[in-house]
Amino acid sequence: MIDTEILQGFCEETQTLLDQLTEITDEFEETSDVKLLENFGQVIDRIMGAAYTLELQEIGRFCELGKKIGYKASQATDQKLIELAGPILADTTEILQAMVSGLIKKETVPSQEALNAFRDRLRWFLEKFQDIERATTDS
Amino acid sequence: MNNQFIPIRLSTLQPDIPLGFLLLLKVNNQYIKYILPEDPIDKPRYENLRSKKVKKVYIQSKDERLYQRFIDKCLNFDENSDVQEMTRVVAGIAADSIESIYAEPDSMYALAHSEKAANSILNATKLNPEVLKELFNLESEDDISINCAICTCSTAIALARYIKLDEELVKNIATASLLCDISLPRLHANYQTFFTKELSDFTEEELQAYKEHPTRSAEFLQNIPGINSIVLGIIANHEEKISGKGFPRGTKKLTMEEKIVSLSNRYALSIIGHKIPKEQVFKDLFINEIGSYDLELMNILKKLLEA
Repeated sequence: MIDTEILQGFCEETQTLLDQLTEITDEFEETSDVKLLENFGQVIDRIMGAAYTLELQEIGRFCELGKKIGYKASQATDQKLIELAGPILADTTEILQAMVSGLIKKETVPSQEALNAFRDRLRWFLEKFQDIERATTDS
Repeated sequence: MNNQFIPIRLSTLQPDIPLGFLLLLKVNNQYIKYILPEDPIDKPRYENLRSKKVKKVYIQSKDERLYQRFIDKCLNFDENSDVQEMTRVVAGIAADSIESIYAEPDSMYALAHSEKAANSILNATKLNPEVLKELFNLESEDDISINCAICTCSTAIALARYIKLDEELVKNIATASLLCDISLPRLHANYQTFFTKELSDFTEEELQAYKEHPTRSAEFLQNIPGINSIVLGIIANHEEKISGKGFPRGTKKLTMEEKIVSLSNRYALSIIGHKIPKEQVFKDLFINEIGSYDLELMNILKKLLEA
Protein backbone atom coordinates (compact mmCIF):
# COMPACT_ATOMS: atom_id res chain seq x y z
CA MET A 1 0.00 0.00 0.00
CA ILE A 2 1.50 3.30 -1.09
CA ASP A 3 1.53 6.15 1.37
CA THR A 4 -1.26 8.63 0.53
CA GLU A 5 1.11 11.57 0.63
CA ILE A 6 3.52 9.91 -1.80
CA LEU A 7 0.62 8.98 -4.07
CA GLN A 8 -0.67 12.54 -3.94
CA GLY A 9 2.79 13.81 -4.88
CA PHE A 10 2.99 11.38 -7.78
CA CYS A 11 -0.42 12.46 -9.06
CA GLU A 12 0.45 16.14 -8.90
CA GLU A 13 3.78 15.75 -10.65
CA THR A 14 2.30 13.40 -13.23
CA GLN A 15 -0.49 15.85 -13.91
CA THR A 16 2.07 18.50 -14.88
CA LEU A 17 3.76 16.02 -17.19
CA LEU A 18 0.43 14.91 -18.68
CA ASP A 19 -0.36 18.55 -19.43
CA GLN A 20 2.95 18.76 -21.26
CA LEU A 21 2.07 15.63 -23.24
CA THR A 22 -1.26 17.19 -24.22
CA GLU A 23 0.53 20.33 -25.39
CA ILE A 24 2.93 18.21 -27.43
CA THR A 25 0.19 16.22 -29.18
CA ASP A 26 -1.80 19.40 -29.82
CA GLU A 27 1.24 21.02 -31.39
CA PHE A 28 1.95 17.89 -33.41
CA GLU A 29 -1.55 18.04 -34.79
CA GLU A 30 -0.78 21.51 -36.12
CA THR A 31 2.77 20.97 -37.33
CA SER A 32 3.38 17.20 -37.83
CA ASP A 33 6.92 17.88 -36.59
CA VAL A 34 8.44 14.47 -35.74
CA LYS A 35 10.77 16.05 -33.21
CA LEU A 36 7.68 16.49 -31.02
CA LEU A 37 7.17 12.73 -30.98
CA GLU A 38 10.64 12.33 -29.58
CA ASN A 39 9.82 14.96 -26.93
CA PHE A 40 6.70 12.98 -26.13
CA GLY A 41 8.87 9.91 -25.55
CA GLN A 42 11.13 11.84 -23.17
CA VAL A 43 8.29 13.26 -21.08
CA ILE A 44 6.34 10.02 -20.83
CA ASP A 45 9.59 8.27 -19.86
CA ARG A 46 9.63 10.38 -16.69
CA ILE A 47 6.11 9.25 -15.77
CA MET A 48 7.12 5.66 -16.50
CA GLY A 49 10.12 5.88 -14.20
CA ALA A 50 8.08 7.25 -11.32
CA ALA A 51 5.27 4.76 -11.87
CA TYR A 52 7.60 1.75 -11.83
CA THR A 53 9.34 3.10 -8.74
CA LEU A 54 5.98 3.19 -6.97
CA GLU A 55 5.11 -0.22 -8.42
CA LEU A 56 2.20 1.19 -10.38
CA GLN A 57 2.78 -1.50 -12.98
CA GLU A 58 -0.22 -0.88 -15.19
CA ILE A 59 0.52 2.84 -15.58
CA GLY A 60 4.18 2.01 -16.11
CA ARG A 61 3.38 -0.45 -18.91
CA PHE A 62 1.14 2.03 -20.71
CA CYS A 63 3.87 4.66 -20.47
CA GLU A 64 6.42 2.18 -21.81
CA LEU A 65 4.29 1.47 -24.87
CA GLY A 66 3.66 5.19 -25.40
CA LYS A 67 7.36 5.93 -25.09
CA LYS A 68 8.31 3.28 -27.64
CA ILE A 69 5.71 4.56 -30.09
CA GLY A 70 6.89 8.14 -29.64
CA TYR A 71 10.55 7.30 -30.22
CA LYS A 72 9.98 4.88 -33.07
CA ALA A 73 7.51 7.16 -34.85
CA SER A 74 10.02 10.02 -34.60
CA GLN A 75 12.43 7.91 -36.66
CA ALA A 76 9.87 6.56 -39.13
CA THR A 77 9.63 7.57 -42.76
CA ASP A 78 6.10 6.37 -43.54
CA GLN A 79 4.11 9.62 -43.48
CA LYS A 80 0.75 7.91 -42.90
CA LEU A 81 2.10 6.15 -39.80
CA ILE A 82 3.73 9.30 -38.50
CA GLU A 83 0.45 11.17 -38.84
CA LEU A 84 -1.40 8.42 -37.00
CA ALA A 85 1.09 8.42 -34.14
CA GLY A 86 -0.02 11.87 -32.94
CA PRO A 87 -3.70 10.99 -32.44
CA ILE A 88 -2.87 7.63 -30.86
CA LEU A 89 -0.48 9.25 -28.40
CA ALA A 90 -3.13 11.85 -27.63
CA ASP A 91 -5.51 9.00 -26.74
CA THR A 92 -2.76 7.44 -24.62
CA THR A 93 -2.43 10.68 -22.69
CA GLU A 94 -6.16 10.74 -22.06
CA ILE A 95 -6.22 7.15 -20.84
CA LEU A 96 -3.24 7.83 -18.57
CA GLN A 97 -5.02 10.88 -17.24
CA ALA A 98 -8.01 8.73 -16.27
CA MET A 99 -5.76 6.05 -14.74
CA VAL A 100 -3.84 8.59 -12.66
CA SER A 101 -7.05 10.30 -11.49
CA GLY A 102 -8.36 6.84 -10.65
CA LEU A 103 -5.58 6.40 -8.08
CA ILE A 104 -7.35 8.97 -5.92
CA LYS A 105 -10.94 8.90 -7.18
CA LYS A 106 -11.65 5.25 -7.87
CA GLU A 107 -14.82 5.93 -9.88
CA THR A 108 -12.86 7.58 -12.72
CA VAL A 109 -10.64 4.60 -13.42
CA PRO A 110 -11.34 2.97 -16.81
CA SER A 111 -12.70 -0.56 -16.73
CA GLN A 112 -10.23 -3.42 -17.13
CA GLU A 113 -11.92 -4.22 -20.43
CA ALA A 114 -11.25 -0.68 -21.70
CA LEU A 115 -7.64 -0.80 -20.50
CA ASN A 116 -7.07 -4.16 -22.18
CA ALA A 117 -8.59 -2.88 -25.41
CA PHE A 118 -6.42 0.22 -25.35
CA ARG A 119 -3.26 -1.73 -24.55
CA ASP A 120 -4.12 -3.89 -27.54
CA ARG A 121 -4.27 -0.73 -29.70
CA LEU A 122 -0.84 0.41 -28.54
CA ARG A 123 0.71 -3.01 -29.21
CA TRP A 124 -0.95 -3.25 -32.60
CA PHE A 125 0.32 0.20 -33.52
CA LEU A 126 3.81 -0.43 -32.17
CA GLU A 127 4.11 -3.50 -34.41
CA LYS A 128 3.82 -1.24 -37.42
CA PHE A 129 7.26 0.14 -36.57
CA GLN A 130 8.93 -3.26 -36.30
CA ASP A 131 11.51 -2.33 -38.94
CA ILE A 132 12.78 0.40 -36.61
CA GLU A 133 15.16 -1.20 -34.16
CA ARG A 134 15.71 1.54 -31.62
CA ALA A 135 12.99 2.32 -29.11
CA THR A 136 15.00 5.25 -27.77
CA THR A 137 16.81 8.02 -29.56
CA ASP A 138 20.15 7.11 -27.94
CA SER A 139 22.69 6.06 -30.55
CA MET B 1 -14.18 8.82 -18.89
CA ASN B 2 -16.98 6.31 -18.73
CA ASN B 3 -15.64 2.87 -17.96
CA GLN B 4 -16.57 1.04 -21.12
CA PHE B 5 -15.75 3.65 -23.76
CA ILE B 6 -12.33 4.48 -25.14
CA PRO B 7 -11.32 7.56 -27.07
CA ILE B 8 -10.29 7.77 -30.67
CA ARG B 9 -9.31 10.93 -32.51
CA LEU B 10 -11.58 12.22 -35.22
CA SER B 11 -8.51 12.87 -37.38
CA THR B 12 -7.86 9.12 -37.65
CA LEU B 13 -11.19 8.55 -39.39
CA GLN B 14 -11.35 8.76 -43.13
CA PRO B 15 -14.69 10.07 -44.39
CA ASP B 16 -16.88 8.00 -46.70
CA ILE B 17 -15.48 4.59 -45.72
CA PRO B 18 -17.93 2.40 -43.73
CA LEU B 19 -16.68 2.32 -40.14
CA GLY B 20 -17.58 -1.19 -39.04
CA PHE B 21 -17.96 -0.03 -35.42
CA LEU B 22 -20.32 2.16 -33.45
CA LEU B 23 -19.08 5.74 -33.11
CA LEU B 24 -20.20 7.78 -30.12
CA LEU B 25 -20.05 11.43 -29.18
CA LYS B 26 -19.76 12.66 -25.62
CA VAL B 27 -22.28 15.38 -24.89
CA ASN B 28 -22.79 16.66 -21.33
CA ASN B 29 -21.10 13.57 -19.94
CA GLN B 30 -23.45 11.33 -21.86
CA TYR B 31 -22.29 9.06 -24.69
CA ILE B 32 -24.64 9.22 -27.64
CA LYS B 33 -24.65 7.02 -30.71
CA TYR B 34 -23.46 9.06 -33.66
CA ILE B 35 -22.61 6.74 -36.56
CA LEU B 36 -23.83 3.16 -36.85
CA PRO B 37 -21.31 0.42 -37.75
CA GLU B 38 -22.65 -0.08 -41.28
CA ASP B 39 -22.37 3.60 -42.15
CA PRO B 40 -19.44 5.79 -43.13
CA ILE B 41 -18.90 9.19 -41.60
CA ASP B 42 -19.76 11.31 -44.60
CA LYS B 43 -17.77 14.40 -45.48
CA PRO B 44 -20.36 17.02 -44.39
CA ARG B 45 -20.70 15.43 -40.93
CA TYR B 46 -16.94 15.03 -40.64
CA GLU B 47 -16.36 18.66 -41.59
CA ASN B 48 -19.16 19.76 -39.27
CA LEU B 49 -17.46 18.08 -36.29
CA ARG B 50 -14.11 19.57 -37.23
CA SER B 51 -15.63 23.03 -37.55
CA LYS B 52 -16.99 22.62 -34.02
CA LYS B 53 -13.47 21.75 -32.86
CA VAL B 54 -14.47 18.21 -31.91
CA LYS B 55 -11.25 16.23 -31.68
CA LYS B 56 -12.29 13.20 -29.69
CA VAL B 57 -14.97 10.67 -30.40
CA TYR B 58 -15.51 7.34 -28.67
CA ILE B 59 -15.91 3.66 -29.38
CA GLN B 60 -16.97 0.79 -27.17
CA SER B 61 -13.96 -1.10 -25.87
CA LYS B 62 -15.32 -4.31 -27.43
CA ASP B 63 -14.99 -2.62 -30.84
CA GLU B 64 -11.27 -1.88 -30.51
CA ARG B 65 -10.22 -4.57 -33.00
CA LEU B 66 -12.77 -3.25 -35.50
CA TYR B 67 -11.26 0.21 -35.17
CA GLN B 68 -7.80 -1.25 -35.80
CA ARG B 69 -9.13 -3.04 -38.87
CA PHE B 70 -10.59 0.24 -40.12
CA ILE B 71 -7.27 2.01 -39.66
CA ASP B 72 -5.47 -0.80 -41.47
CA LYS B 73 -7.91 -0.40 -44.33
CA CYS B 74 -7.21 3.33 -44.47
CA LEU B 75 -3.44 2.76 -44.30
CA ASN B 76 -3.61 0.34 -47.21
CA PHE B 77 -6.00 2.51 -49.16
CA ASP B 78 -4.61 2.96 -52.65
CA GLU B 79 -6.32 5.88 -54.29
CA ASN B 80 -5.56 4.81 -57.85
CA SER B 81 -6.74 1.23 -57.57
CA ASP B 82 -9.77 2.44 -55.66
CA VAL B 83 -10.68 4.90 -58.39
CA GLN B 84 -10.30 2.27 -61.07
CA GLU B 85 -12.32 -0.26 -59.12
CA MET B 86 -15.05 2.28 -58.41
CA THR B 87 -15.12 3.35 -62.06
CA ARG B 88 -15.39 -0.27 -63.17
CA VAL B 89 -18.31 -0.90 -60.82
CA VAL B 90 -20.12 2.31 -61.73
CA ALA B 91 -19.65 1.79 -65.46
CA GLY B 92 -20.89 -1.79 -65.05
CA ILE B 93 -24.07 -0.71 -63.26
CA ALA B 94 -24.67 2.04 -65.81
CA ALA B 95 -24.03 -0.28 -68.77
CA ASP B 96 -26.48 -2.91 -67.44
CA SER B 97 -29.13 -0.27 -66.95
CA ILE B 98 -28.64 1.30 -70.38
CA GLU B 99 -28.76 -2.13 -72.02
CA SER B 100 -32.14 -2.73 -70.39
CA ILE B 101 -33.35 0.68 -71.55
CA TYR B 102 -32.27 0.04 -75.15
CA ALA B 103 -33.92 -3.36 -75.15
CA GLU B 104 -37.27 -1.86 -74.13
CA PRO B 105 -37.17 1.91 -74.55
CA ASP B 106 -40.92 2.33 -74.14
CA SER B 107 -41.05 0.19 -71.01
CA MET B 108 -42.29 1.92 -67.89
CA TYR B 109 -39.05 0.76 -66.26
CA ALA B 110 -36.81 2.74 -68.63
CA LEU B 111 -36.88 5.78 -66.37
CA ALA B 112 -36.19 3.70 -63.27
CA HIS B 113 -33.22 2.02 -65.00
CA SER B 114 -31.85 5.38 -66.05
CA GLU B 115 -32.28 6.85 -62.58
CA LYS B 116 -30.47 3.86 -61.12
CA ALA B 117 -27.55 4.31 -63.52
CA ALA B 118 -27.51 8.08 -62.99
CA ASN B 119 -27.55 7.67 -59.21
CA SER B 120 -24.66 5.23 -59.26
CA ILE B 121 -22.58 7.71 -61.26
CA LEU B 122 -23.71 10.67 -59.15
CA ASN B 123 -22.96 8.95 -55.86
CA ALA B 124 -19.61 7.51 -56.90
CA THR B 125 -18.43 10.81 -58.33
CA LYS B 126 -19.53 12.67 -55.23
CA LEU B 127 -17.52 10.26 -53.09
CA ASN B 128 -14.52 10.48 -55.34
CA PRO B 129 -14.43 13.11 -58.10
CA GLU B 130 -11.50 11.25 -59.70
CA VAL B 131 -14.01 8.66 -60.92
CA LEU B 132 -15.42 11.28 -63.27
CA LYS B 133 -12.08 11.71 -64.99
CA GLU B 134 -11.91 7.97 -65.57
CA LEU B 135 -15.45 7.94 -66.92
CA PHE B 136 -14.66 10.78 -69.33
CA ASN B 137 -12.35 8.48 -71.22
CA LEU B 138 -14.10 5.21 -70.64
CA GLU B 139 -12.78 2.35 -72.70
CA SER B 140 -14.73 -0.81 -72.09
CA GLU B 141 -15.89 -3.83 -73.97
CA ASP B 142 -19.42 -2.49 -73.95
CA ASP B 143 -21.39 -1.38 -76.94
CA ILE B 144 -20.24 1.99 -78.28
CA SER B 145 -23.66 3.58 -77.73
CA ILE B 146 -23.48 2.62 -74.05
CA ASN B 147 -19.99 4.05 -73.63
CA CYS B 148 -21.12 7.24 -75.37
CA ALA B 149 -24.10 7.56 -73.02
CA ILE B 150 -21.89 7.08 -69.94
CA CYS B 151 -19.35 9.62 -71.23
CA THR B 152 -22.11 12.16 -72.01
CA CYS B 153 -23.55 11.65 -68.55
CA SER B 154 -20.22 12.02 -66.73
CA THR B 155 -19.24 15.08 -68.76
CA ALA B 156 -22.61 16.72 -68.11
CA ILE B 157 -22.38 16.00 -64.37
CA ALA B 158 -18.92 17.55 -64.22
CA LEU B 159 -20.09 20.70 -66.01
CA ALA B 160 -23.28 21.01 -63.99
CA ARG B 161 -21.45 20.60 -60.70
CA TYR B 162 -18.75 23.03 -61.75
CA ILE B 163 -21.29 25.79 -62.29
CA LYS B 164 -22.95 24.75 -59.04
CA LEU B 165 -26.35 23.79 -60.34
CA ASP B 166 -28.77 22.44 -57.78
CA GLU B 167 -28.12 18.73 -57.14
CA GLU B 168 -31.71 17.86 -58.08
CA LEU B 169 -31.15 19.49 -61.47
CA VAL B 170 -27.84 17.64 -61.80
CA LYS B 171 -29.78 14.43 -61.23
CA ASN B 172 -32.22 15.34 -64.00
CA ILE B 173 -29.28 16.12 -66.29
CA ALA B 174 -27.62 12.78 -65.51
CA THR B 175 -30.84 10.82 -65.99
CA ALA B 176 -31.65 12.55 -69.29
CA SER B 177 -28.10 12.14 -70.63
CA LEU B 178 -28.47 8.40 -70.43
CA LEU B 179 -31.83 8.41 -72.21
CA CYS B 180 -31.04 10.69 -75.17
CA ASP B 181 -30.46 7.96 -77.74
CA ILE B 182 -32.91 5.29 -76.60
CA SER B 183 -34.97 5.48 -79.79
CA LEU B 184 -32.03 4.77 -82.11
CA PRO B 185 -32.25 0.94 -81.99
CA ARG B 186 -35.90 1.21 -83.07
CA LEU B 187 -35.18 3.71 -85.83
CA HIS B 188 -32.39 1.95 -87.66
CA ALA B 189 -30.94 -1.54 -87.66
CA ASN B 190 -27.36 -0.26 -88.07
CA TYR B 191 -27.69 2.46 -85.50
CA GLN B 192 -24.27 1.61 -84.00
CA THR B 193 -22.60 3.09 -87.09
CA PHE B 194 -24.24 6.43 -86.28
CA PHE B 195 -21.78 6.81 -83.45
CA THR B 196 -18.70 6.20 -85.54
CA LYS B 197 -19.19 8.17 -88.71
CA GLU B 198 -19.51 11.84 -89.53
CA LEU B 199 -22.92 13.25 -90.45
CA SER B 200 -21.59 14.02 -93.93
CA ASP B 201 -21.12 10.29 -94.51
CA PHE B 202 -24.70 9.32 -93.59
CA THR B 203 -27.04 8.05 -96.32
CA GLU B 204 -30.27 10.00 -96.70
CA GLU B 205 -32.22 7.27 -94.94
CA GLU B 206 -29.74 7.17 -92.07
CA LEU B 207 -29.78 10.94 -91.76
CA GLN B 208 -33.55 11.00 -91.57
CA ALA B 209 -33.56 8.41 -88.77
CA TYR B 210 -30.77 10.21 -86.93
CA LYS B 211 -32.48 13.59 -87.10
CA GLU B 212 -35.66 12.07 -85.75
CA HIS B 213 -34.09 10.40 -82.74
CA PRO B 214 -34.26 13.23 -80.18
CA THR B 215 -37.99 13.71 -80.68
CA ARG B 216 -38.65 9.98 -80.80
CA SER B 217 -36.63 9.33 -77.62
CA ALA B 218 -38.67 11.97 -75.77
CA GLU B 219 -41.89 10.49 -77.16
CA PHE B 220 -41.01 7.01 -75.90
CA LEU B 221 -40.72 8.40 -72.41
CA GLN B 222 -43.38 11.08 -72.20
CA ASN B 223 -46.10 8.84 -70.77
CA ILE B 224 -43.95 7.14 -68.18
CA PRO B 225 -45.13 8.02 -64.67
CA GLY B 226 -42.59 10.16 -62.86
CA ILE B 227 -40.88 11.62 -65.92
CA ASN B 228 -40.53 15.38 -65.71
CA SER B 229 -40.48 18.13 -68.31
CA ILE B 230 -36.84 19.02 -67.61
CA VAL B 231 -35.70 15.50 -68.51
CA LEU B 232 -37.94 15.43 -71.60
CA GLY B 233 -36.67 18.89 -72.67
CA ILE B 234 -33.05 17.84 -72.38
CA ILE B 235 -33.65 14.68 -74.43
CA ALA B 236 -35.62 16.49 -77.13
CA ASN B 237 -32.97 19.21 -77.45
CA HIS B 238 -29.71 17.33 -76.96
CA GLU B 239 -28.71 17.73 -80.63
CA GLU B 240 -29.69 21.41 -80.80
CA LYS B 241 -27.09 24.18 -80.92
CA ILE B 242 -27.40 27.76 -79.72
CA SER B 243 -26.49 28.85 -83.29
CA GLY B 244 -29.77 27.32 -84.46
CA LYS B 245 -27.84 24.87 -86.68
CA GLY B 246 -28.74 21.79 -84.67
CA PHE B 247 -31.66 19.44 -85.13
CA PRO B 248 -34.52 18.49 -85.15
CA ARG B 249 -36.01 21.97 -84.66
CA GLY B 250 -33.07 24.28 -85.16
CA THR B 251 -34.01 26.23 -82.07
CA LYS B 252 -31.60 28.73 -80.55
CA LYS B 253 -33.37 28.86 -77.23
CA LEU B 254 -31.83 26.32 -74.89
CA THR B 255 -31.90 26.17 -71.12
CA MET B 256 -28.60 25.86 -69.27
CA GLU B 257 -29.19 22.14 -68.66
CA GLU B 258 -29.91 21.61 -72.34
CA LYS B 259 -26.77 23.51 -73.33
CA ILE B 260 -24.76 21.31 -70.97
CA VAL B 261 -26.05 18.05 -72.40
CA SER B 262 -25.77 19.28 -75.98
CA LEU B 263 -22.06 20.07 -75.50
CA SER B 264 -21.44 16.89 -73.49
CA ASN B 265 -23.12 14.80 -76.17
CA ARG B 266 -20.95 16.36 -78.85
CA TYR B 267 -17.80 15.79 -76.79
CA ALA B 268 -18.66 12.14 -76.05
CA LEU B 269 -19.44 11.42 -79.68
CA SER B 270 -16.09 12.83 -80.80
CA ILE B 271 -14.04 11.07 -78.13
CA ILE B 272 -15.79 7.71 -77.88
CA GLY B 273 -17.48 7.41 -81.27
CA HIS B 274 -15.06 9.11 -83.64
CA LYS B 275 -12.00 8.35 -81.50
CA ILE B 276 -10.67 11.88 -81.95
CA PRO B 277 -7.93 12.84 -79.48
CA LYS B 278 -9.05 15.25 -76.77
CA GLU B 279 -6.80 18.11 -77.94
CA GLN B 280 -8.14 17.80 -81.48
CA VAL B 281 -11.74 17.83 -80.23
CA PHE B 282 -11.15 21.17 -78.53
CA LYS B 283 -9.31 22.58 -81.53
CA ASP B 284 -12.28 21.63 -83.65
CA LEU B 285 -14.80 23.00 -81.17
CA PHE B 286 -12.99 26.33 -80.80
CA ILE B 287 -12.44 26.78 -84.54
CA ASN B 288 -15.43 25.22 -86.28
CA GLU B 289 -18.11 25.29 -83.62
CA ILE B 290 -17.73 28.75 -82.13
CA GLY B 291 -21.28 29.98 -81.63
CA SER B 292 -22.73 26.46 -81.65
CA TYR B 293 -22.18 25.79 -77.96
CA ASP B 294 -21.99 28.00 -74.90
CA LEU B 295 -18.48 29.45 -74.88
CA GLU B 296 -18.23 29.53 -71.09
CA LEU B 297 -19.17 25.85 -70.90
CA MET B 298 -16.60 25.01 -73.58
CA ASN B 299 -13.90 26.76 -71.58
CA ILE B 300 -14.97 25.02 -68.38
CA LEU B 301 -14.91 21.63 -70.07
CA LYS B 302 -11.46 22.29 -71.48
CA LYS B 303 -10.27 23.34 -68.04
CA LEU B 304 -11.81 20.29 -66.36
CA LEU B 305 -10.22 17.91 -68.82
CA GLU B 306 -6.83 19.55 -68.58
CA ALA B 307 -6.88 19.37 -64.78
